[in-house]
Amino acid sequence: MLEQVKDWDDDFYERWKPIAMGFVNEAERCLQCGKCTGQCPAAAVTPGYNPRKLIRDLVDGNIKRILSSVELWQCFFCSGCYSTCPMDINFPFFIFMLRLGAMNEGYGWEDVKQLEAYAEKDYLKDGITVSIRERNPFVVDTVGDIGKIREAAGLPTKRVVSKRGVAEINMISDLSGMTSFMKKIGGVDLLDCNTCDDAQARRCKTKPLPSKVGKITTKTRFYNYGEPSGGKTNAKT
Amino acid sequence: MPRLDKVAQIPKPDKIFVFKSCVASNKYPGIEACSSDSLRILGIEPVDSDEQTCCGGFVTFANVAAPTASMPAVARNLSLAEEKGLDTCVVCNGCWTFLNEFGHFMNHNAEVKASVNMMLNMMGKEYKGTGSVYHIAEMYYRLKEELAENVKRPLKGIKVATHYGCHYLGGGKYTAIDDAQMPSYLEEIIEILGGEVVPYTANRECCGTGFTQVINGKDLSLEHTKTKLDSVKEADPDILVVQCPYCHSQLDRIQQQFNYRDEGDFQTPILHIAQLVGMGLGLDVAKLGFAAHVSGRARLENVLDRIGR
Amino acid sequence: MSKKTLVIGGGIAGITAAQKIAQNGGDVILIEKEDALGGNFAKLTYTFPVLGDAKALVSQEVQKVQTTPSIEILTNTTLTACQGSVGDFSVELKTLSGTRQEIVGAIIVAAGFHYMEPTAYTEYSYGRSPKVVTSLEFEKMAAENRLPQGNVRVVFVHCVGSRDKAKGYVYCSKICCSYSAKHAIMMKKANPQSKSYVFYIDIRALGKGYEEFIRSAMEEHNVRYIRGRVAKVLESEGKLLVRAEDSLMGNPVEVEADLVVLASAMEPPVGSRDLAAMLGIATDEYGFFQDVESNVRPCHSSKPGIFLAGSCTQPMEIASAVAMGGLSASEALAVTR
Ligand SMILES: Cc1cc2nc3c(=O)[nH]c(=O)nc-3n(C[C@H](O)[C@H](O)[C@H](O)COP(=O)(O)OP(=O)(O)OC[C@H]3O[C@@H](n4cnc5c(N)ncnc54)[C@H](O)[C@@H]3O)c2cc1C
Ligand code: SF4
Ligand code: SF4
Ligand code: SF4
Repeated sequence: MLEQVKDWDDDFYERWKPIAMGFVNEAERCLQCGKCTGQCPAAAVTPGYNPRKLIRDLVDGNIKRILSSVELWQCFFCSGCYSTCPMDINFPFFIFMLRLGAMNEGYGWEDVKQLEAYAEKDYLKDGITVSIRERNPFVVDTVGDIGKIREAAGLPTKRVVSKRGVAEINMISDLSGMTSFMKKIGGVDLLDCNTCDDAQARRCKTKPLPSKVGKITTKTRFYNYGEPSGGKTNAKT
Repeated sequence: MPRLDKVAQIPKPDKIFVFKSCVASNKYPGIEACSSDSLRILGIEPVDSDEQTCCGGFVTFANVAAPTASMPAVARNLSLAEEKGLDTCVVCNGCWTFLNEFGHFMNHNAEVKASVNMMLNMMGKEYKGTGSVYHIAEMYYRLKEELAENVKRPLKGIKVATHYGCHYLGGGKYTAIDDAQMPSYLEEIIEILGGEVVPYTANRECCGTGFTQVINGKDLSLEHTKTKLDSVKEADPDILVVQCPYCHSQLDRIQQQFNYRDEGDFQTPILHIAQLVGMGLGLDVAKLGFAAHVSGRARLENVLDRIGR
Repeated sequence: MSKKTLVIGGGIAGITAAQKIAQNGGDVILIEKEDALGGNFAKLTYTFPVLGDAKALVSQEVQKVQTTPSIEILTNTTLTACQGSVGDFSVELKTLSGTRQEIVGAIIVAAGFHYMEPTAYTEYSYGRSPKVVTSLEFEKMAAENRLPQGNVRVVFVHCVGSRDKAKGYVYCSKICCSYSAKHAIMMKKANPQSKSYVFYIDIRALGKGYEEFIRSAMEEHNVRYIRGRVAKVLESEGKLLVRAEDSLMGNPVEVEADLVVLASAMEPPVGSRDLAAMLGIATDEYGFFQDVESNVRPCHSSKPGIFLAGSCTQPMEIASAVAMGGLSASEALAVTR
């Protein structure tokens, strides 16, 4: 489809660089060589995901295509691309910056909403992001009470971050605007297998494996970078 | 080949601040127990603090906390070790890159550091940037000789495969102690412990967590984990050793999910390097925390039977 | 004023310079640090763009200088000191039998290039797998009839060490696109059953007949050209797995290969900075010898009376090295007579 180059955004990159706090380096150095995509774990399993193309669009200024894309949210943040890039382009930081930009335009909030709860209910409440509350009923069946295992290993039954520690990170969150930001998102409920009922446990256990939840309405994102030629199924056979 | 000049720069202090990991504490406590005890055996007294919180990496890269929020949180955690005049030792690749990267950033940006300190001063804290952050695997490699002298339960005949993890090698392109593409220091540690290294094709592949993909894009995450696990299964090690509790949890738990849903039969025990070292140093079996492991439990028992409990 | 010219380096550039000076009545001392003349040209099997017999071509040229009385050839010889200025340089040469002083009127530096050992490219399993070789090793394999036989896949990797700020050099080595095509064709000719894949970023084939040569690889020899820099080469059960992006389709691809050939970078010759310091001339940021003006005086070093020829100034093919050898010869003649 014919694209109008005059519609591209010439200085998005300059505007957003400071927001990523200097972690992003010169995207203009990209050679479009594809070494990043060749080793990218996300690209290996995702039709259309391609870090090289995202960098291309960023340098060209076709920001709209990036920000409204589903692909922007498919990066694994593994830094494999950075480790192999001949031009030292630290791509995951670009993704970080671009996601902030996308949220600013109203995209991707459903993904962030899934994650907000970990900040609100675990990180800011206990000081520990990965909670003691188990959210996988199979694991509960196999492993049982983590507290007992901790005790046997000579550790306190529960790792507790001091009240002062928790208060301090909350203070940081309030002062830096993180708290009000989180209020805006309002996260999803997180389950705890030890307190939920049998019906819920059954639901969890029979839930089809790949799951995608997205409850809040945000702008619709598109597969802007397309399927590989022939589509995913054909690509496999 | 490990970058030996970099390894030599790692000090051998009397004491070190041991930074607790969320996943280790709440999912795999064996890692937490083994890291402290193994360091002690190797001559370094672990010091910790219950004021230490999560490094904040997850909420930051989940785009819930902007860098303006996570920067002071990093500084705060680092200042806990600085107060005691100690370096920090982490057990998680995520903590390692996040603390290092953000710490480095503040050290080179006086303005950011000053504004961060304004916030910390309100709590009676200050970030100076005097301490370094080391991964426990780096420490083990640095303490090779001490490790060799203290092996009490050699892993004789135990086949071990390695998984380094992206956030150590990838993000640490220039800062990790080994080459990002063909690392070998974990292999050396395994050999010191008396184990047998088994190679497999997907060694450098990501565990598939994909950071937040395991929550938001689970189908992609699982597909990638499957390629990894398939390759591991082909090599059939007794143990797959990792150095990141997040990889640990993905590789351990997803095996079970595949098994339950008839998408394969995966039974490879996953151990953190601290647990493997703890096992070799002869720590009490309860300290290894194997009870918290989900996959390959029978095989772990078998390993213990072979090398002695 | 001395009428002699000292030529440093017995590769094709140095050989040509010596010949041209002698043909025009000048005297030459040609020094070569190895025990034979020919340089890197002598390590090749065929040459692009017409698949000439490299060994025959080079020995013909070597013979010409060897039979010219006004050229004194000193092999196993290096320069150890140099004083003076144009028309009157006093140089010290270290030969196998001891040192020797000479007065020369001009000096031509034709020290050639060094072929990069891509040991830093651990992602390509170089040095780990015997099935991953450099292009120069491939030339040797071809000469010794050791190319893989049967139904095999061979992958050629462009730009290893070139166009790479992180592990190699930012510059383009200029001729690896062309010689990789040559290698792919050689492979096909030696083993018609084999399949060749060339991974490239851009095809840079700037010379008469080069584009046609590369097209012939694709059209007549069925070499597959895939646009994308190879990301990694893994070993798997005796095979090599080559991962890259087919960037024209935007899709990652994997090739199961039996041999991987790395087109490594042409680097400045070993010790180029020391040699330059001894001569009092400039090198560029990489260590190649620097010309004073690259458009109209490409073979002038930063010091009058010292001239440059061949691949010690930048990566180049034989034809250019020959041309530059001739040019530097005429400059040397202009100041020595
Ligand atoms: C794999 C490969 C394939 C190639 N294929 C082709 C092809 O098909 N066609 C083509 O046109 N080109 C090809 N080339 C390029 C070709 O090899 C060069 O263009 C040519 O060798 C350049 O000649 P030269 O005289 O400048 O340098 P060199 O051949 O490098 O000669 C320099 C000489 O100087 C000597 N020397 C260095 N330093 C000193 C010193 N301090 N004192 C004394 N002696 C010294 C060296 O020992 C060497 O003998 C290929 C190159 C490679 C790597
Ligand atoms: S590897 Fe680096 S230079 Fe090459 S396409 Fe990717 S980002 Fe660009
Ligand atoms: S960080 Fe993202 S783009 Fe880079 S290799 Fe990993 S998944 Fe791919
Ligand atoms: S000549 Fe071709 S292969 Fe060589 S560096 Fe340049 S673009 Fe790469």
